Amino acid sequence: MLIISDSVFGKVLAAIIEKDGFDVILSSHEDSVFAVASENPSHIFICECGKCEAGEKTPINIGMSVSGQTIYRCGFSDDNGGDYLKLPLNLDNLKSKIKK
Amino acid sequence: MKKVILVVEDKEEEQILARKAVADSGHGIILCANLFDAKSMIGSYSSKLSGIVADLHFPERSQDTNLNKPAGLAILTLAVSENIPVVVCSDMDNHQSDYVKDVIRYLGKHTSYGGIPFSVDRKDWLQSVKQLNAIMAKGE
Repeated sequence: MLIISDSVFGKVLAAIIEKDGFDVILSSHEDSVFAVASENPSHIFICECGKCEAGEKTPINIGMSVSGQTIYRCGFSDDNGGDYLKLPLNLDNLKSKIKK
Repeated sequence: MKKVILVVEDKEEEQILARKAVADSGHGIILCANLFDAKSMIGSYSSKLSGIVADLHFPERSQDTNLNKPAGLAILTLAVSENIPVVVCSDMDNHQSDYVKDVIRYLGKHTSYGGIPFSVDRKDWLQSVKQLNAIMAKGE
């Protein structure tokens, strides 16, 4: 699982999920395209997604280089997209998505 | 961590073939469909990219409708100046642009691996990735 974040939220989320036995790689938004290509993660979790946030462009930037991975966007905005997880997160819900 | 190859190709059907060829070689892929995006990726990751496989004729920007510009020459120039191994995967004979072969040969003289491999009549991504692997192996 790849977590893309420039904030402490990503670090905390990575620590929580790693504790549950998942392999987690943390990347900045700037390095996200390379991280997707080099690590080929099964799940990609993009933090700071929302209006005027750092993660807004990342889904577009990584878009052409992904193939078959499950991508989730995460942020504080109201977004009805099926791939969007609004904060605060329900961790049990998130973990169930990763296990699928 | 996989080695990462930048592929520049604008046609979706060719992108599928390129993606498969790179995956079969065991490398990761960064895929761009125009010059602007490809230059941005080279600018961001030049020291991390293991190689580049580029078509020659593709748009400068995503909204550009002229698909017949030899924008790939700019990619080759960047790759040579950044010392990134590069291979051309093109059907350039279909673009009536014979002169680009001379430019590629000239740029190839400035590489450390003795020339830039290129195809002329049809795109063969498997062959191009194989050629890139050979160049990358020389540099290791």
